[in-house]
Amino acid sequence: MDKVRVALQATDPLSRAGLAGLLQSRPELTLLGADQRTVDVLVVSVQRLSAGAVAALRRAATETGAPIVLITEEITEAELLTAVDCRVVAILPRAAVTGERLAHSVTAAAGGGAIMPPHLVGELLKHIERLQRTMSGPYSANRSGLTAREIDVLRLMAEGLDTHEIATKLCYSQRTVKNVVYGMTQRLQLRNRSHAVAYAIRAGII
Amino acid sequence: MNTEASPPYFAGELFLTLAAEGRLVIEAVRADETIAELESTLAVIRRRLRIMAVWEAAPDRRLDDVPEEMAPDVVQALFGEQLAPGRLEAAAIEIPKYIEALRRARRPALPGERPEENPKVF
Repeated sequence: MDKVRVALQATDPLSRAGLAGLLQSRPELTLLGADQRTVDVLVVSVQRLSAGAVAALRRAATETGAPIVLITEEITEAELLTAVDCRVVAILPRAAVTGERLAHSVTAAAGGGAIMPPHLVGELLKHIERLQRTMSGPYSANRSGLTAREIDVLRLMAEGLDTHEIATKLCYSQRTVKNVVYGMTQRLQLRNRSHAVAYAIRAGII
Repeated sequence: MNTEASPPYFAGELFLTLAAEGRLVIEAVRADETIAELESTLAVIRRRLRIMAVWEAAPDRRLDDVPEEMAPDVVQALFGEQLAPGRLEAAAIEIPKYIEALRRARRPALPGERPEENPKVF
């Protein structure tokens, strides 16, 4: 069986050295130089998917056309979608990378080409599920656009407490409470405290 | 994967691209379930948009004048729009793209094939 030709890009020398060692130790893989254009799979290691990292991923995807195995510390839903757009077909948490897992991801990527493996498809379907929940359900406290602090203040306002009492209860300064109320009413275009409380109750936030 | 504090994020074009390039392939049963749920969500969104249009056109916007069974929908639609202006309109445009992408990505199960399990990435 032909060896899978792999190129490696890593943002820091330590990761590059460590990952190169793992890849070179696998008999089914051949590690080529990072500047090679004719590769089967590209392994990219970044700490976070910063704007620079995304630009590098896009460039690599365009230049090689190869599927990408991404190694990173953490990834958000938005970053996942961006990564998929850049031909990433597997994402490994940096702390969980072993020679075995890396080799498995690389060979699966080579075998499947750019077709996304089931676990990544599953993550994309979870994105759709979250979208549906957000768009079709009632607006609840955890996705109302209000912070936990704002909801705490709203609850106490609904109980009839004034600024001084709310500040005492929540261990904030009165200035903080006023800032929280001001920020909330401005952002939501509410006329006053009563309006804010009425909306919060009607929308099931408090 | 970290989804805390993720805003609603539409990626209909990305899904269409993935499906058109053959990179997104989804087993038929799962695709059909998701399409049905998306169609249901789209119906809710269109209903809220209709409610908002009626509300905007009403000469005297008083919640007390709204039939009792419709009042929660009116509040949901209007409050949602205050929290995230334009989100409903965007969803009404984006969700059909997801539906179309899933139709294109739909693949009948092969004989003897079991539904895929989806281990967590993060």
